[in-house]
Amino acid sequence: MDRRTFLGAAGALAVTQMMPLAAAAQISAAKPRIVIAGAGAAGLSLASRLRRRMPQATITILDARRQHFFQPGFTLVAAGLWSPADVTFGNAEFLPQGVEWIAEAAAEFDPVANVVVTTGSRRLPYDFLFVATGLFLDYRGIEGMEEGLIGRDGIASIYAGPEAAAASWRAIEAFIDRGGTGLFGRPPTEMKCAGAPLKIAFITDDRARRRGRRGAVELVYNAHREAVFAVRPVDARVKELFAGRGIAINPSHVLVAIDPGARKAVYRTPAGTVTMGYDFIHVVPPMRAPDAVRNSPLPWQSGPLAADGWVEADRATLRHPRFPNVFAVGDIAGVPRGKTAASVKWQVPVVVENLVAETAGREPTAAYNGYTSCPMVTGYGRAMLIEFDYAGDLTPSFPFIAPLDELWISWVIEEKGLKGAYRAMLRGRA
Amino acid sequence: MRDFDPVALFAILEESLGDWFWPLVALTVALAVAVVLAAVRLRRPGRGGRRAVAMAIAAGAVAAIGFFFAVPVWTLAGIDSLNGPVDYLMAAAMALVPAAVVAALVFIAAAARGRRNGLAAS
Ligand SMILES: Cc1cc2nc3c(=O)[nH]c(=O)nc-3n(C[C@H](O)[C@H](O)[C@H](O)COP(=O)(O)OP(=O)(O)OC[C@H]3O[C@@H](n4cnc5c(N)ncnc54)[C@H](O)[C@@H]3O)c2cc1C
Repeated sequence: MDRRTFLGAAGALAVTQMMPLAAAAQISAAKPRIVIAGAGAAGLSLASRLRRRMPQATITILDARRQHFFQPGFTLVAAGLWSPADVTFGNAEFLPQGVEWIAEAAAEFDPVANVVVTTGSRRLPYDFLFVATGLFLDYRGIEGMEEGLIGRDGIASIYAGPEAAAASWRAIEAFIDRGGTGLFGRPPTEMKCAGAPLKIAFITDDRARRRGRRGAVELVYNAHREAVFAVRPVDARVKELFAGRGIAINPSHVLVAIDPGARKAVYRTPAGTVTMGYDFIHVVPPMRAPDAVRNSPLPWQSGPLAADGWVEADRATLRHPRFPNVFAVGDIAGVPRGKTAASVKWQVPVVVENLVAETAGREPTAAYNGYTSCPMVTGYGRAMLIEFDYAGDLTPSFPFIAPLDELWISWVIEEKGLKGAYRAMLRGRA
Repeated sequence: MRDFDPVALFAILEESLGDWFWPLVALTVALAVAVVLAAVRLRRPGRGGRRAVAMAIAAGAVAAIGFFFAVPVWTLAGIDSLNGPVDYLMAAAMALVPAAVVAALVFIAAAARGRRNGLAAS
């Protein structure tokens, strides 16, 4: 029975962390053709909510992948606590009735003709398009690096999938066995869950301590700029914790190349390139829009989000300013911050509410405030419940949980609360 | 606790517990009904009502202490992970639920014994 006890509390906490607008539950009788590109966190959750709120719409969702990964759990797989099976579901399990799933990717977006072309050359005309393709992990953007290297020659990367996360755990253990220098860091691009590269550094440190091997490993975090985290109070707190744990920080180091055979990493720094030897490295790849999106008219045409192809979107409504029947939701949205599953939880009800209002002849008024959250694991059993908005202000959901305190209750949210909340979100129920 | 929504909480619990959810709901209801029936029976004099309540509280208290230490382990952490008043309070609050189940079972068992003894005496 204790399982129920924990889940009750964890769920109660997770639900507010991931709670969107109070559901207005109004229905639109409109009959538009809706295409959703991507059946990840955002796509499935959109399909569920749209199905309920627009029962007469024709909804088609596109995704070539049949498996669905609970990505926030990758950190716990890499910590040796969960298995890949714990974070792997089937997409079909979450598809609401009456939504057509085409198991192909979107190959081409033509927002002028209002058509999506699939990899199987099917043309799908739409009245409303939701781009929810997530992002592309560009491992080859680092010279000498590719996904197949994860788990070999001291290379770890928890981003690539459940098996990569499990291979990363084995690499961490082998590194702690052997000792030496471990390098961590993050790319200079926009990225999903910017806390994850820090979490894995904390986990490696704690694991080495628990095994009595901390003296045998040197841990170095190569930050892509001065800050290790974009939100100032969090940055200061993480730096303080790193200092206390003997994790060195090198600011303004961007990983540009890797030589797995020689175990050398090359960084771009303001003073030129710097080469560092390593025994273990956690590689976080540059992240960009998938090609189909990048090569379409949808991305920003100028500004900081243009180069990597993020979809142009109004930051409050996630609506495309040039193609108003197009919305970008989840990681692909070209908005500052917001690349977490917890953000999706807030974004989806906003776009659905506005579309329902609009097609029912009401004024769309819902707005997304940039809510982003990630429980920052700082060791086995402890985390900081970091939540913030576009302004970079901390927005704690619970007055009794201090966001910058390392707490077990924040760990409980990560370990016991998030998965159930995520699954309920996919069904549009939370 | 802004936007707290019991419907969403229900959905999250259901997803978290998966196939266990409805059997656990059924067990909880069965336990609650059994406790109420036992309490009704014990209200009659000579059935040892006070003793049953005392036994249930004692068993619940001991169980709560035990579960307090088990709670962090169940979250794949250790008791040393608790780090501040809110952690201790939450662990205690969580420990109270299984402790309440233990207390209920003891209460029901005591009531059944009281009834047997009562019947034997009559
Ligand atoms: C290691 C790690 C740790 C994380 N930790 C947390 C955390 O603690 N908390 C948190 O809230 N979030 C966390 N996240 C982030 C979270 O998982 C993502 O932000 C979230 O999944 C984004 O949802 P999405 O739908 O935009 O993208 P995804 O869930 O990635 O889904 C995108 C889908 O689109 C599909 N697709 C791609 N291209 C196409 C195409 N051309 N056509 C059709 N379909 C396409 C893909 O196959 C995929 O199924 C973490 C992520 C990682 C990797």
